[in-house]
Amino acid sequence: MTVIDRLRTDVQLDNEGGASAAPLCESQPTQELCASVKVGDIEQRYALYMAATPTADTVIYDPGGPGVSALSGTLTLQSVQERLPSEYNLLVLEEPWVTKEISENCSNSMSGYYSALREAEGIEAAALSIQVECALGQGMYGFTPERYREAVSMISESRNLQIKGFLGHSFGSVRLSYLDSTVPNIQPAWAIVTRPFPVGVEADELMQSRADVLRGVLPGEIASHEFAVEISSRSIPVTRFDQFSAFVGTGYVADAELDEVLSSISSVADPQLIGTLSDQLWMRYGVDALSPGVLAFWEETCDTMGQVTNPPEGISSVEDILFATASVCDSFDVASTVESGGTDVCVTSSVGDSVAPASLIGEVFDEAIVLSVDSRAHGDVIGWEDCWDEVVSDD
Amino acid sequence: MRIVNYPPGSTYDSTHFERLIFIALAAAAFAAVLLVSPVSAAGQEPTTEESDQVFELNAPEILSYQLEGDEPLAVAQAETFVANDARNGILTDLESVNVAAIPDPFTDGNTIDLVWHNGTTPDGLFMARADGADGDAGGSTGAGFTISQIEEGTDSSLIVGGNGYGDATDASGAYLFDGRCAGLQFTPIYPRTSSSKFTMNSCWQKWAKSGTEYWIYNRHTQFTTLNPNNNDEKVTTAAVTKFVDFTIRSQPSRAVGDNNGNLEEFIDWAPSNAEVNCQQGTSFTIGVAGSSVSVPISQCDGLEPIAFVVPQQFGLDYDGSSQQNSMRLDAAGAYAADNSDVIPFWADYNWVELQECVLNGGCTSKIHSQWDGGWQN
Repeated sequence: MTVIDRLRTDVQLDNEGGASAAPLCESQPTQELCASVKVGDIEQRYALYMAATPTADTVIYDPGGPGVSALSGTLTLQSVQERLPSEYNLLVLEEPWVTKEISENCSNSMSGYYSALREAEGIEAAALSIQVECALGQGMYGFTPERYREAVSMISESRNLQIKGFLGHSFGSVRLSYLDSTVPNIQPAWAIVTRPFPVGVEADELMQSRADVLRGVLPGEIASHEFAVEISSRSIPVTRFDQFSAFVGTGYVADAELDEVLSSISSVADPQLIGTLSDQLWMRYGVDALSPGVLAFWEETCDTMGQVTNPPEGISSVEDILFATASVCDSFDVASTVESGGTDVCVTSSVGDSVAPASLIGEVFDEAIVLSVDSRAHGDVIGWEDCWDEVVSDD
Repeated sequence: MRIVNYPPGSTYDSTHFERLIFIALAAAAFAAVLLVSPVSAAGQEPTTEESDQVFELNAPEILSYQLEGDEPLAVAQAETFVANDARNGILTDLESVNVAAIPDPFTDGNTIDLVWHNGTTPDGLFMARADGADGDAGGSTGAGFTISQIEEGTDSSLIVGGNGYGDATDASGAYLFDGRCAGLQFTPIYPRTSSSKFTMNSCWQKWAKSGTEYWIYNRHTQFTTLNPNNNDEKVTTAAVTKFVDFTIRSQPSRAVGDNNGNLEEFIDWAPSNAEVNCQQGTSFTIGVAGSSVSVPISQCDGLEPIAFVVPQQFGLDYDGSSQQNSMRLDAAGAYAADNSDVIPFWADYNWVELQECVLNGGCTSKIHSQWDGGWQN
């Protein structure tokens, strides 16, 4: 028992009684604490981890996305709460898609779209079909600013919380922008967002900027021929579409593994790895099904960055993959930048990050403290503690 | 289910062991009968003590009932399974899912369905059924299964890449190396709806502390008797289902010889004292080497933690009589492997005993069988 850290926290008060009080928490179990609140017609699930010392002071933690299943256990939310340098409760909202029923027509349209991408045929019509069949743009899968605000407001009120701070990653910056000052008591005094999504940047500029960063790390020569490799435990072959997708997926790969992964993708030495990276990027599962999380991704990112001017008709480069991720956004308008007046903001950025380009972060967050970090991988939250020292004052 | 709760370093209690042998023999006899003629066996006269109708399959027998991937039941079960994974952020290819449909010896025309991921394999399945005393319309069911990891989990979607504008990773904490579920479904004595079965979902997560030999193994099993969201046609509302016994256990897998020896130390387990300070809707945390994993508490009453340094086993045991739509047990263990290159494998054990009682129909049935899944060998 020499190396053990016995971090038991036996008592975490949850006034609503946790799972037993919320039918949606019982019928679809989570691996985190789960409670829920009615926001309009929709039951909003959330996790609230209370500080060891009772306090109303609360930090919203937003892990980004959209498409993240925040209560599934992979984020170890209690660990996040315990690592905060001072005592705060931690509030995490779950994206609506996790518990949203999807119609068969909607599922089919997603599969049709995915197949259209792979076969480079009828992409535009398939994208339009998703908008129609899944009723995209009504805030059923991702958050709308109003719903996010209302949920935070209602939870704060019912659980007697005071929102003091905001800790977010990547798309968390967009959620932060939802907490504008028009609703009382939900605007945090300070906010930290690691690798923030550049709120207000239009889709064309974002995708081109991402492609430019990615070009800097990719091997010069990428095989241009079509191929199809069958592998066991995968329903569909690994093709050039997956290879380009995998290159885009390297934006999330840890720095220490990047060279090996890039080399392996280039040479198709490990088709399993290519398939995994591609599937993660598109959220493919089953045979040609896409996770309902991708609906949240489209709904909320399209609302934020608008449409791309020329969505690709085929896939023959990493640029095509990047622009294709926005091809469902046709006719969406870019949301205006929301000023987070009154909140002290600190963000991190890395010149090697191909998901949230540092050049755009510098433009958008010109009033925030921007800390440059070395790590290239988009998921790396390094620097948040330095940001804490910059903006958090425990008064 | 209390089976061989022997202290570290000792051998089994001989009385208990003999009883297990007796039950095993009885089980084998009945299983033989049932396998030959399940319908007639299921129609036997009501039982006396130690004469539950039982049904046991070993690993090869389970695998003999595995469906081809394109059979409709296999597709339906697998699709439900992978769709559920997707909601939890796990992307599972249909080719990675296996389904076995075993003829249900207790309910004619139904199947006991088992679903599991590639990289794991079922080791054993046990079912027992007992009637109540004369005039009692209710009955009891015992069901257990064991499953082992047999591959390192390289087809997991939880590692390597990501999507969208998220995927925060925390280098200072443990990272999720792999995680899967397996499911058992069988028909109740008194089905509540036209299509629903009892379901037992057994899930695990392997958390690694990067660059070290430390691992946290996190387990939960949820047994659902009635999903309140299921709007299927109701068959009967007169029956209630009570949980009598519910046990989960985990230990290093014996399916892969090399890896069994590669977990050098069983460091900690949680919950360690389930009754103290337990509050539903709260969580407990287990930590090792500066990393920790938190686990929700969804059951407090009637729990007894299980922990044995030999054979490095942890778990949780519920005993009582509780009517609830579902029950979930969570437990976790912290281990040290031989070195930082080792990827350890674990095995999981699940057991539930349910009593189905009919309004004004008595409620006396009890399962007497015990099943250890071969874990004491």
